[in-house]
Amino acid sequence: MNRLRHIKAADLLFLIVIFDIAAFTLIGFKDQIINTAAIVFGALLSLLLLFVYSVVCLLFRHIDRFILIIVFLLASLGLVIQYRIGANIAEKQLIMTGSGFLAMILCILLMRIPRLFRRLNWLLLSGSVALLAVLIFIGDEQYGAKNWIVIGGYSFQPSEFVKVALVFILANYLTESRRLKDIRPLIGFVLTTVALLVFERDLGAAVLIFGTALILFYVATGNKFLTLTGMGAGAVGAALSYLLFDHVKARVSVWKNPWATYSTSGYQIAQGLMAIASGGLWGAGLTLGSPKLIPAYHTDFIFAVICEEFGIIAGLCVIAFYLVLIVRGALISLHSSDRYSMLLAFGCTVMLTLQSFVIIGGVIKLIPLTGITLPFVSYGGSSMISCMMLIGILEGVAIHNGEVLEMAMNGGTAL
Amino acid sequence: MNTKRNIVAMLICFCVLFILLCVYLVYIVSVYGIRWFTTPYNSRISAQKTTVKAGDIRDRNGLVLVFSDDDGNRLYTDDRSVRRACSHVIGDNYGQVFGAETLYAHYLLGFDQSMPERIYQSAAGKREGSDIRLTIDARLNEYVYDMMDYYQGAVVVMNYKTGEVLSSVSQPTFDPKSMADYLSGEKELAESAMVNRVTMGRYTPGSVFKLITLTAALRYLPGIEERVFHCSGPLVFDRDSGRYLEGVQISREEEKLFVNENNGNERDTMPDEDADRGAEPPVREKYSLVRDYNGDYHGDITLCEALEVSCNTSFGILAMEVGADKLAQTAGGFGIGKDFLFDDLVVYPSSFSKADSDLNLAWSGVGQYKDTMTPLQMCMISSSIANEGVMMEPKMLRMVITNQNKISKSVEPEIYSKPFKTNEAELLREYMINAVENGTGRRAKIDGYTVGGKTGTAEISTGEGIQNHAWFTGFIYDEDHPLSICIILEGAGSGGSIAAPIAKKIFEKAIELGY
Repeated sequence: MNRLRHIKAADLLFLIVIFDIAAFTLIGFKDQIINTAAIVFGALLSLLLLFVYSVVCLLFRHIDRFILIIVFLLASLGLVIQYRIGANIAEKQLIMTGSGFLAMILCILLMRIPRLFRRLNWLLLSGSVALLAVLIFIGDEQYGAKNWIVIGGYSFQPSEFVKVALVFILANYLTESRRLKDIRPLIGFVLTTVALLVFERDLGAAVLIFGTALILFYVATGNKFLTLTGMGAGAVGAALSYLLFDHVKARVSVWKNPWATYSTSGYQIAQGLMAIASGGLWGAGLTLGSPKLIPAYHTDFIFAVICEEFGIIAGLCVIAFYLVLIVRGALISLHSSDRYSMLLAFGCTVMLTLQSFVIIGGVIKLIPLTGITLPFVSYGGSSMISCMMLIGILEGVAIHNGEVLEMAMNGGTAL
Repeated sequence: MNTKRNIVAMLICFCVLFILLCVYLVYIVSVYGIRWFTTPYNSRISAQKTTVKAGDIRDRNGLVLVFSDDDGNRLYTDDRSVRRACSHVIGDNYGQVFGAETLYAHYLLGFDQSMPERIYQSAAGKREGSDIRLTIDARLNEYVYDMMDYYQGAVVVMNYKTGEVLSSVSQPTFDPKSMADYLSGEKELAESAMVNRVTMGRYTPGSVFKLITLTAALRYLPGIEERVFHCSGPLVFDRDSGRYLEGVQISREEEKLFVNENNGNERDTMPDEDADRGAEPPVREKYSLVRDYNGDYHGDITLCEALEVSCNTSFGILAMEVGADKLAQTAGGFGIGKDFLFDDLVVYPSSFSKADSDLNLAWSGVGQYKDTMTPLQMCMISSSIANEGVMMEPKMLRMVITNQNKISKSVEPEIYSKPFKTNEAELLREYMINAVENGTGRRAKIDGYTVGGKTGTAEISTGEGIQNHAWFTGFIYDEDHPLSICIILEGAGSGGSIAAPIAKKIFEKAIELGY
């Protein structure tokens, strides 16, 4: 039974490798001159995936292979699109994907030290606030948000790592206490980070952190009244920011009708919608679209590029992939042996859910756009690494679950 | 455990959210996809022109309007007046005018081709898009163009059973061949010549709007068909509050003071020349009137006769009795104020503003105040009256023919809505036929055919004074010639004397051509 399952996952990996090689070969033969670099890139990516898969599966027998497969698939899709747009950004992103895998493995290993992150709670908490506070003074502004730190030519986005820290902090506080007064530091932390992020105009991260905290609070306490109060407060906050900030107002009016302000603020969404519509059901074909017309084509709007070149059908598949990831994440959480692991795993799941929903919904104009990355697909090192860390946490819990189950089955005592 | 139950609940929420994403993506692309694709902003269309040879655009009988040479240059028919007459229908190669070139770029440039076909064509050399045939008859368009003479305005002729647009002309025109010269400034272009007035011209409808007021009256005022209206002078309103002063009558002498008054479009206070004449302010400053176009009094008339003579006072009273809300509701039922999402055409929404006073309400009931209407919208209303109350979706694309000579798409009549209840359409049809038999539209009468129609004379205030737009909308009530029309000629004068005879000629020509 167990063996059968593993074979299936490996088969899927095989399909991904075929997809990668086929896609990069296609890119390689696009022009008159055969671009061997593209084919080499495809081979490298395939080797990386195969290598990571074998190493991880060897090291950790109980790892959830389907989550790995989905992550591989999404990352491959992202790299194909990025290589098609520009080889140099894809090369950078391949390195970031590799680093992401390392971060994932590191997270899994750290998760094996019992209570490590619970003991580090105050460090995570104060570190996160400090990072975000420091941004106000030394942050660099990119894409309208002051949320980057540049060190030695490398820029990174602290809010991405605050998201990971938040999951640990939430799980830590909510494991023990269901009473409001015991989680005051948590509430203070969430409100501070959200306020700082709004101040730095990083609305996307603010929404993610607030949403994740609220959902996890509800799941852990089941307190409907306070959850609804929190939602109300969020709504009031959103309404206030709408009234106070012009950039929020602009976002909403663009969402209502991007064509009215086509030449200015509506340009991005309108271009995205045009790209999606131009692709049609089956897409224009890889390398046959015009992705560069869309601002942020390789980051926030990569979903529109996927729809243009691979078709709406691929867009629907991508949504379905995220759904599989979410269901697997929730299952890991449900199978956890202890409450802390359960909340930790579900926190990661919620974070990835909200992030993919908010950006896909924003691109297809279901909700107002907030600029965040599409997990594993968008270009961006910080985002890739932080998402991989979330996967690492999830896998850490999955491995722990597997070990507990195995022990129980072998008649041993549970950990 | 509680937490587990909550996790399952949240998981179900997430599943719903993601299914919503999928459903929304499919919905929005299927409803708006073509529209987003065909925006003039979409530079993919022009990019595609370098790799794909665009297909021909032909009229409904196969007459070639636009074609491409082997180098991919767009060439136009040699007949200059056909080019002119069909200019807005064709559009242009630069995405300036919303015509077939842009609207159907999807087919013309092969965006609809399947992947194997694209690969096959690319391998064989150059890709070619599909040819299209419009529902427009170029000869009829040319005739209409001649008929309109030098007037600016728009004419649209439809088959009301299928919704096919047979003719659509907007004046002033341009020559699609010379678009590059217009853009570079080498050739002069008449002002607003690039606007397709048929679909984008938002005109004050004037009396043609009475068809909508009439529908609302039939729907909300039971027994109204039997009522006798007393038209013995203008309706009098308090000038400041706009309140209807029932029972107040003014003499013809006094009425003459109002002759040059603007009919409801905008009501600036008049200069106070006579302000200090005495204690009793003169009528001119005390009252506002809703009066007839020529200051006619019609005496005791029935509803049918009120439409026949196009009596403003009767319709003003009807509008006030129906009320602004129900009038707006009825107008909305015809699609006024709605963003039409037609497959073949982009039509600007018409509008109806709820009036805030009796005076404005009375004016809005006779199509003045802030009402606006596109000629195509008006034509659709007439069409639905003739078509037993069923409004068909207007169609302009007759068929798409692939380069293997296969018909990949052909026009299929689609019902857009059913705006009428029970026998409303029947009554309106009778009234409109009566208006052509005996009333303002009598110059549209054609021997041997049953013609129905409504004239309109919309009064528009311009800088120099009041200008009259001549409207006529109507239909031939005939199994074999299901034609409807809408004409608007800017500043031409009264609808009955200018637009109605042109409608007659166009109908006769259309019948001659076999429609």
